[in-house]
Amino acid sequence: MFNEETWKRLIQEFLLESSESMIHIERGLLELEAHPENKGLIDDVFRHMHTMKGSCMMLGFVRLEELTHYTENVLDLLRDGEISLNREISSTLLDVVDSIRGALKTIEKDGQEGELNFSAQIEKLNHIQSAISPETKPHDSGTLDLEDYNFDDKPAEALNASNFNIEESSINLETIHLPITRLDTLMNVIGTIVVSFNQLRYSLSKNRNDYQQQIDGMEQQLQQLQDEVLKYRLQPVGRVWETYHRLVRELAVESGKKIYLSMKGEDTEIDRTVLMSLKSILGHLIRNAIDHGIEPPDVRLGKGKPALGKVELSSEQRQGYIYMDVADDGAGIDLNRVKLKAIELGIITAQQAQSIDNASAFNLIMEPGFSTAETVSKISGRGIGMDVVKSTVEKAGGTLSVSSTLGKGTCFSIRIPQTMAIVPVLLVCAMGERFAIAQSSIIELLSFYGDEISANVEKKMDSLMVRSRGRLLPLVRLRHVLYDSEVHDNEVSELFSKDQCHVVMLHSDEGDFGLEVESIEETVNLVVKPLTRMFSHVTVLSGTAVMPDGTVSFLLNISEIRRFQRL
Amino acid sequence: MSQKTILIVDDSSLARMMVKNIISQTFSDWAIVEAATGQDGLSHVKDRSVSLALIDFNMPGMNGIDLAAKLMELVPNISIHLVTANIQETMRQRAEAMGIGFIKKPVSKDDIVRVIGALEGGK
Repeated sequence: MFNEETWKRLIQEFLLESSESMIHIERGLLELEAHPENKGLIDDVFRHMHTMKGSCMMLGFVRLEELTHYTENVLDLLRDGEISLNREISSTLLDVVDSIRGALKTIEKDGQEGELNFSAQIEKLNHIQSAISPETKPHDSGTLDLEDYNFDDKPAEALNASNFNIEESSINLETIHLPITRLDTLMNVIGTIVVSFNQLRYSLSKNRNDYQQQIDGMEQQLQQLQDEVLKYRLQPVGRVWETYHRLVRELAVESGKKIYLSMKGEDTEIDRTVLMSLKSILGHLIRNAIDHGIEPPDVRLGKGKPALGKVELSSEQRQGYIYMDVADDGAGIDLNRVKLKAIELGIITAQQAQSIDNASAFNLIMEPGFSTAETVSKISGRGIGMDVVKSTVEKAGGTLSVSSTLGKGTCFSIRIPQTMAIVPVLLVCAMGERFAIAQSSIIELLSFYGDEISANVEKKMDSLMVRSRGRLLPLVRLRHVLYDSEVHDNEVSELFSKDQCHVVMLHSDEGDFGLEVESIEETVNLVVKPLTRMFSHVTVLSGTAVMPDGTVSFLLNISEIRRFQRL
Repeated sequence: MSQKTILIVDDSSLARMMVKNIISQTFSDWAIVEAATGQDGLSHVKDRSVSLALIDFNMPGMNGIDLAAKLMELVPNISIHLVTANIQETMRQRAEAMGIGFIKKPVSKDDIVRVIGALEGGK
């Protein structure tokens, strides 16, 4: 292929570059022994070995190529965390480095690799590889050699699914690996709980009255136990995000759009239950972004945008919450169209459309039955609606909001608790039943007695209002929400005739409001469970919890209740 | 008609040398610019028009996919091919979603003829 002089230069370049690679690999391996968790190091070592392999392929050093190929396999397993570096693996890899250096000397001397034999090293590398379960073989499932492809100018067609079978990349969130030290920590906490429990039992059996101290101690220990266990349930969001590349590829090929999916904050950890409940939601938002947001390449170019549309997933953790965004740089949402559609559907009146603020107008797209899609495509539009996306997020204790700039793009933001488990709540009574309200949404508690009621509550149009710190805010009664009933004419007089009226002032993304209750009880920490199927259609409830007295109560979904008061 | 330019981005100097040699044998009228990193590659398209980019996937810093996205933003009509020895499933999906082609390593003369020929034929 090349003349002798060119060939000489290539060999020289190869020797120079490969010697440097070996220095990097050796240094990296030694550092990894001290810092096995350093991902950057292992990436670096892998990359250099990969380059080395490529170079051998180019120059036809088949034996050396085989050695680097097997070494790369082992490094790939290390990189993916399938195996962890131990003394055996480390010394095998360092031995490979020495062998490669020897081979480089031979090539320098003879200009070819000759009869080099690496079977001993390859056997060791194979042994390391076979130590893991057979279904996670690299280069079989995750990697494809391009050997059998017939290329043409359209990669999407050249590499379609009929050319090879791809197993859906399965993500395993069903099992977790725990280091023994973590179990030891758990065992220690359980040990202290057992001691406290024995002391408590002794105190109670002897009728001694020092049990309060033991109860307090036990409460702290249970808290500690809970924190430990919750920590083990956390998973990086990237494990689910990885699966969206396939979805994006299919949507792009089907629609003829060019899409770049980028990710930020893949390492953010979130409870696996929350993660699983978000999996299809995020998929739907990505679908939406590609289907309704990103324009076809020619349209984008016409608008002065790059042909390549961007969808960005980002995630970060702040104060016990995970914030997740799905943003696109597409056409954005046309608020005027949204309002017209909402009027058409009877969601708002033409008069309300005049005065509605942008945030509330964007939220209209999350109303049941709403869709601004001009055409119902094969991809989305007939799937689940944005209302289902919103209620699913809320069922997991989260909120969903949307912002958009026409022509620039749209961003859906999810805020969700990092763990779905134990929620500090306020217990209240309404309609003779006990309900729980998450402390995080409470602003303050107001109690009016006698004349104070008429001074602070009034009826405006068809709604009740309550005065709080100089603001007039909607006042919701649970009865209206649960039975979807109107405010009666005599309701105000009935309220005014009461000798007391209690209001929980609440904050939601749709706006602040007051909830009238019969009585305000204690604050407790409750283990909240998702609603059973029987109640799953009742959106104003977001979960159930077992009360200290053994009965079951509902947790109220504050933002859903606020939405009943369309103002 | 100004001279056409190819950008080669690969952290292996040997790989770049190899591709350069193959191109200059058959398409001597094309100018070639090289870069060892994505960042470096981006600086090359600022002041000249590049018609074709051949990009290695595994590079320090920015990987080939991210570089391709940035190049497509800067150069609307650029043709991009990822040059790679073995291809991970996720990488393949991402590249196809973006409409990028592949060339298998080691790069052969036929690959280069196919890719550049398509560009010349299309003009």
